[in-house]
Amino acid sequence: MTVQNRLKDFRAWLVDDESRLQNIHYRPGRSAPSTTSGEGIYSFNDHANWHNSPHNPAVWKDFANWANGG
Amino acid sequence: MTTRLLILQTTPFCNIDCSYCYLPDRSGRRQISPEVVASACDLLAEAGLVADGLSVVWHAGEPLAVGAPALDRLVGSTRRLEAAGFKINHCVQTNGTLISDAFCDLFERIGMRVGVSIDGPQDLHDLNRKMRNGRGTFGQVMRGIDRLRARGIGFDAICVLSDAALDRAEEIYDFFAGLGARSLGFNVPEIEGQNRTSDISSDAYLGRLRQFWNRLIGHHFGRRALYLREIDDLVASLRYGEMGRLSELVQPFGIVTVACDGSIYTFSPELAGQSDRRFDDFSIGNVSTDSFEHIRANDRLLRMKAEIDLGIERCRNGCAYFDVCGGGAPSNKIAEHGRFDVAETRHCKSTKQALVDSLLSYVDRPVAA
Repeated sequence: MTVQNRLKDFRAWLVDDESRLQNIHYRPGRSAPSTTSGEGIYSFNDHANWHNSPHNPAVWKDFANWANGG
Repeated sequence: MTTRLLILQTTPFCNIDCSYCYLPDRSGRRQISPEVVASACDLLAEAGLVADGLSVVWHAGEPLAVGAPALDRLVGSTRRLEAAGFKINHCVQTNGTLISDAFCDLFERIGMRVGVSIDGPQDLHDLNRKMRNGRGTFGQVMRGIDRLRARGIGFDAICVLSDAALDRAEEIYDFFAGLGARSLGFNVPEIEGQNRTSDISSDAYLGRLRQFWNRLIGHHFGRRALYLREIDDLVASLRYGEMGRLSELVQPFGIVTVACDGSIYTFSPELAGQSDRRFDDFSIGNVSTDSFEHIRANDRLLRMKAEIDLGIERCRNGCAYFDVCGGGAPSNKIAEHGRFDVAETRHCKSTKQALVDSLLSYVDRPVAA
């Protein structure tokens, strides 16, 4: 699979269920950071409280299973 | 297009002498004036460029070298933006050696976000971040960080990845977690400015860097001790961002840099202070003397934009990573290839491409049931 398609699949998986993002510590509803944002030159993005979310490795396991056809 | 990042060069002077620094004139003692700062703010406001939440970053030289009272006065000149109703994020990127209680007072009073440049544990940090007498600066940086911590002032960290750091991903991550940094960003030594080569010139470095990202991602998702700029921004942007959106680095006025003499630059901030046979010093005017209409029509700006646009098209048509990159970094393109109308650079390979590959490898990895 191409890089573009793998990225699209990963994005679709993240979009499919908001809780997945929440469970891997991204706070839904916060302003969207961008990999193409100039702010990324520094580290000043607003990511307050992200670390208060619970970590859930099962989310990654789900994705790995799904990506592998499971 | 609005401006989300305004970088103001407090002074070109830096009190330390990092071996990988590409900035010229680090001994220059000039300082930006409150009038130049006011002109920069007025120019952006009158042009309708100020994004809500504009980050105003004091950098490009050691900003704390001017002293707390002077920095306070300079910040005061940006207040006209807030008075006009704009929400502004005040930020400073410092080498950390000059953080004093007076600066902590200032940071607290205006809610300034503090970024500290530190390269990890002492032996790694002192390899490159040295005083002019050759001594390492780790002890002084740690004293500055201790002052921040004692005052309860949060800070973000940026770490340059020298070759010697690449075998120590987990140790470096744990170091910053123990330090209490809110977030951590990694920079690679770039081929830019006076640095005609850097670690990324070596294929061996690129290979080792990929291994570094692989190990770091696994460790990060296992520990989650801090916000990891490269990875967390990438994942969140995949979820919330727009695939294929052009980078602010390639759009005029997405990022604006103003040097202490009022010279204005756009596209990559690293262009400020560099020089080129065709684009001279890359400046597109002066905030003290030129109107925005004049700057917008600047011949050098138009020539740079035309060449950068060609480079974007090459990226769009030929790079598998365009959807999460948006056109690359013009400063790296011209530093590595002498032109803006090119696509891939070694900087692309060592940052965006290697990161995406490592992240995808992580999420695709087999996981035991």
